[in-house]
Amino acid sequence: MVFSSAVFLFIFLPIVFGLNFVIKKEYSNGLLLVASLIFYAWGEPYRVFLMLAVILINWIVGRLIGAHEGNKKRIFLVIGIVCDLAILGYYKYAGFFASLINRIIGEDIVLVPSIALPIGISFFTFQAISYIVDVYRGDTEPAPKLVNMALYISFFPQLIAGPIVKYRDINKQIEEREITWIKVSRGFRRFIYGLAKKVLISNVLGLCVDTIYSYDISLIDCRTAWIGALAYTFQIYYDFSGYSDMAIGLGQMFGFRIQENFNYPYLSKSITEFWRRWHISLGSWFREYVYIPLGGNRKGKIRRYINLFIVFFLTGLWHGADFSFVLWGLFHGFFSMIERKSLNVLNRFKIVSVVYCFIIVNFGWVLFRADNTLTGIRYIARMVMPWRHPDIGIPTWNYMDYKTLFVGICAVLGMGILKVFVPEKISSAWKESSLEAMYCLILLILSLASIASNTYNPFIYFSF
Amino acid sequence: MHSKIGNRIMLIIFIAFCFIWVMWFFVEPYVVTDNNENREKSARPSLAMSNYAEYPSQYEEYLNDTLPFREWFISLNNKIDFYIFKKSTSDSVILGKEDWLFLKDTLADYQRNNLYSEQELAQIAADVQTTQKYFEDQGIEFIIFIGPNKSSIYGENMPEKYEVNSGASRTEQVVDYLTRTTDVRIIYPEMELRQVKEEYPDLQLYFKLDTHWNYMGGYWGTKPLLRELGVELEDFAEIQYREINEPDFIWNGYDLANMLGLADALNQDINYELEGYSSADVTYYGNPRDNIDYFNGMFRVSSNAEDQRKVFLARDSFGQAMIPYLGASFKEVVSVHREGFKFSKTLVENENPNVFIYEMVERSGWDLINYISWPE
Repeated sequence: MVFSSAVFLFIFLPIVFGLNFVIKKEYSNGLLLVASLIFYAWGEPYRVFLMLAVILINWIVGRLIGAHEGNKKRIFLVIGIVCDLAILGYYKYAGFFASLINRIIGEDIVLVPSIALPIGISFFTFQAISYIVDVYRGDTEPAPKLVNMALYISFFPQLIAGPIVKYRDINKQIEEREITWIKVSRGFRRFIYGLAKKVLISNVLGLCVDTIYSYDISLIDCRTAWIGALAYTFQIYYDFSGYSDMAIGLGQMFGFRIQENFNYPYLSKSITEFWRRWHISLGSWFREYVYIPLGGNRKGKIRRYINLFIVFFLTGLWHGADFSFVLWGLFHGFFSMIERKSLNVLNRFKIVSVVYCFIIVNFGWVLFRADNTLTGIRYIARMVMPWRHPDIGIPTWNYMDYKTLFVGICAVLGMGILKVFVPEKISSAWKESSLEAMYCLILLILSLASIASNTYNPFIYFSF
Repeated sequence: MHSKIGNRIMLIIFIAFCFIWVMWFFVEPYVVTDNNENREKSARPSLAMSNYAEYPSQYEEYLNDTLPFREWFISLNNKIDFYIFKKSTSDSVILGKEDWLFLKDTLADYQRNNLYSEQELAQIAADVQTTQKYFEDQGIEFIIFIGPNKSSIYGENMPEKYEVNSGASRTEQVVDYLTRTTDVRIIYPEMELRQVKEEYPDLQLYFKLDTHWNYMGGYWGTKPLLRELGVELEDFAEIQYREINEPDFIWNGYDLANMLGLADALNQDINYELEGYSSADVTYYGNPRDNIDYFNGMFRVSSNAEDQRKVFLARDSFGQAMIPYLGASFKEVVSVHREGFKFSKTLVENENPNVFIYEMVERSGWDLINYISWPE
């Protein structure tokens, strides 16, 4: 089930909210857990039991860690992490590593399994790992009840696409929270913004991107390459940040405060800053559970660069079981490393820095989106060397129309341009005003209209 | 106070959203929801162990067809795309100039980039001759009629961005080949219709919002066919006609407008009611204009026309606009949909016609021309 689907909007959300509103508070966690399991099972009718297994394993491990000290405590932690990584590794990376071994050896001696990736596994296994590590470190007590732990792992607003929530940030809210009409109102507003970002901007740009990336690379000229790259840069931002907005908004409607996951990342002045604004919860997770335990920047310059390399390698690998994702991660890591010397300069020349960072991120997204690394590199070549690839390409109308152009302009304005240039007085007056409420109503109607239109499937005459 | 008003409004919007099914329950009886999609809507599935894994997708299919205010939302979205962004809301429909709509399936014919190879032409000719011999062995006249695509007649209203290759179209290629290499009788009134357009620029021969020709286009298109069969309709100067706003098939509406999801907004087009094209009295046994079963199946037309021949019209939807003129010209016309549930070799043999007309629209191709492939 996805937030922008009819079944979530018209059935799941009203029913779950309504039931949560009328039942006694002490049953709320149970209700939300059941709802979350139904939410997950809707898309994964059998793999929901895998998630239940992850929940049970980590709850037991958490209890065992909490009940022991010293080496035994450490052993249980290792067992838990190994279990979580093994599950993630099997479902997400078994095929990748098997292919890699075969490629290194030069023949197909290892069977390459074809395993469908369970939805959200990268998110809930990381949440499980953060839970048992936090219990080990004493940052939080083990969950008093299984239902608390289960709800933390499976809570439907953040289950499929994050943010990656740490148990210590939400445990108190699981045990005790209040739903007020203000939270519901603000949460629904946030949800609508996220829905509009996904449906009205990301999906529209996605049509343009899919068309351009379906062409053979030999047909792509400079103009088409730039349009495709920019369209994807905004598609992925509005898709991901839109989903996070919906998650945060939904959490708020049920009384939870989920931390922000995006902070206008395309206004970043450096790649280093970018990773503090983009998918904040993932960057925070890697920093806390990989970078710092490896020593961070406390063990000298060389070790710091090695640690950064590892983190960005893993960040890329986390995004997908393919070398193109790893390369994308290392691409970001490379710029992050070379910026270390120049952060002061970047901070001084803000506009130039923002443009620099945007271009680097843009190129990175080309590597991320392309079918393979070579195609991505050839694509970038077409962007930066137009003289080598004259206008031999496809007419613009083949992949772009007035709607795409309009949405693209809105996307650019919404990436932070309006935030920078609109005076604080106006934005404060706008926030939570009746005008903004009407604007949100319009966005909601347009989003629902777009979703409904995707269900329209006519035939030229009645088939018999 | 100012900010609280906005929050209160948001809360009201949320509550109203949660009660959207309740609102729909009261509104639905007053909302006309025609099935413009030409398909059966999905039925509500039942959950059982046997369909546990498939149930979510089955339920979503059902829900997608029964959303509250669905048609209103679709209409809103498609009107925004159509009127503001000048964007086709269907992958199958091209927005032309002057509000003309075209079927995307005809684009290759229009651009003339789908010509047949020599081998393919030879195969078509062989298939045609096989069918021709089948009928002529029974003493039945055999004639092929090709209804031109709308873009073949009104191509000037296609968007400029679609380039047209020089040379013949695929249909012109086939007609030319068959004419040169066989003696099959084949009528493709493309030139005749273009001449009519030139001569009578105020006449609209095809619908703007539909793939078909209207009854005026049918009149002018049928004339060359009848001439080939030795029948002449009254001259156009003798005919009275008036404009009406009705599609060829009342149960289908304007098909291209339907495919855009804009049947409620794009509902004005030009058809004609013609009188005086024949003095014969005509009786219809079944009317496909307002009955889909007659369209998909068969119906008859009889008249007291001088020509005593019985005509079997194996047609598609383009045949509908020809019926009044064929029906008035022959003693009996049996009209059967070639891909319908009635058409078969046995039916043709049982009807024992004097003339067999294989009518096809230009875009449909030649896959079914060989009688051997017809149902028994």
